[in-house]
Amino acid sequence: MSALTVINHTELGSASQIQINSISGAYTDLMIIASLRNPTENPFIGFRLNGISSSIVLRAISGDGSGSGLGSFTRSDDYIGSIMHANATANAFGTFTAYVPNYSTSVNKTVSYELFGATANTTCFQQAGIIALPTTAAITSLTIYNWASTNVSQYSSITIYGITKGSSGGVTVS
Amino acid sequence: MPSATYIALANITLGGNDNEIVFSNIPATYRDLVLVNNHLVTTNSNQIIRFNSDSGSNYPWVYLGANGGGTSVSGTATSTSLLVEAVAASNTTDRMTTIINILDYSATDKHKLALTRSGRSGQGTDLIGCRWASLNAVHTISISLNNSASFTNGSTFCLYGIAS
Repeated sequence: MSALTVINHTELGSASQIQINSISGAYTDLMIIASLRNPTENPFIGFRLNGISSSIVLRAISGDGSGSGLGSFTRSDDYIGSIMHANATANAFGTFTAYVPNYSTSVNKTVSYELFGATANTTCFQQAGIIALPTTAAITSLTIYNWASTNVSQYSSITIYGITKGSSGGVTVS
Repeated sequence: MPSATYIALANITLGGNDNEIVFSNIPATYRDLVLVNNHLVTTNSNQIIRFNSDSGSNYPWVYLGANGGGTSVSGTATSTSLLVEAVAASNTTDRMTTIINILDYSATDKHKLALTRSGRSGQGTDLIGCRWASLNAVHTISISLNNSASFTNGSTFCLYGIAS
């Protein structure tokens, strides 16, 4: 039996924010894979769970392919990094992946994520980070948006997987 | 009918404090493994992960990390465990998440690679690449701490197999 179940797949028919509600609590973890582009010249992406946009703690590493571009940043809001935007190569989309362990139990929620994007034809960014959310509530909604102007581009998409823990094959743990 | 490729192999949610978690009897029937840990610890410590109880100097790794204020890199050719990373116990809510992809774990003609993403918001984000210098298939994974610390009640450890 597969531990991986597709909960939702959405592709935007027009520029909009991505909003997913009523996420089932039936799984152990969530895995999110998104293809994103911003339609304006603003590259910034926002990622919001349960509508939380403040009192977040994010610590991330970023790089642009050069030694001098290696960076570290921390945030307290729902900004996660940069993605392709209006000045990037046409039809080029960035990739965002996130993993939310124990999303439906009453523990403090964390997110491990990676983001790849480019702000121009020759400048790429890759980021990886950890996010702590100020909540123990189950994660039931998700928003991805252009951090400056709300909408991400048409054809941006998201797939949400539920991951179910279990046991099989005689593996033991103690 | 398509075959399932992401299989839950074993998991544990600690009902009390524990200083070592051991996955054993892992069959060689998958291509890769994914280990997902979400935990707290009782006191500051380093996390030690080993395969098949091998404590030899067989785990060269490289590390890239950031704490929000700066970056750091390091590496070693003589580590005695897959991964040595700080696990701070600054509070009781800031859980550390560690995701490890163990590639070709069942191959007997190549060394094993482990790619780790790990982080805790009060501490930073780590990316670690490691090689286990062994031709043996991985059948046991142990996760422990380097001092008298323990993983705390409610910590979770899950192992998945990825079929080829």
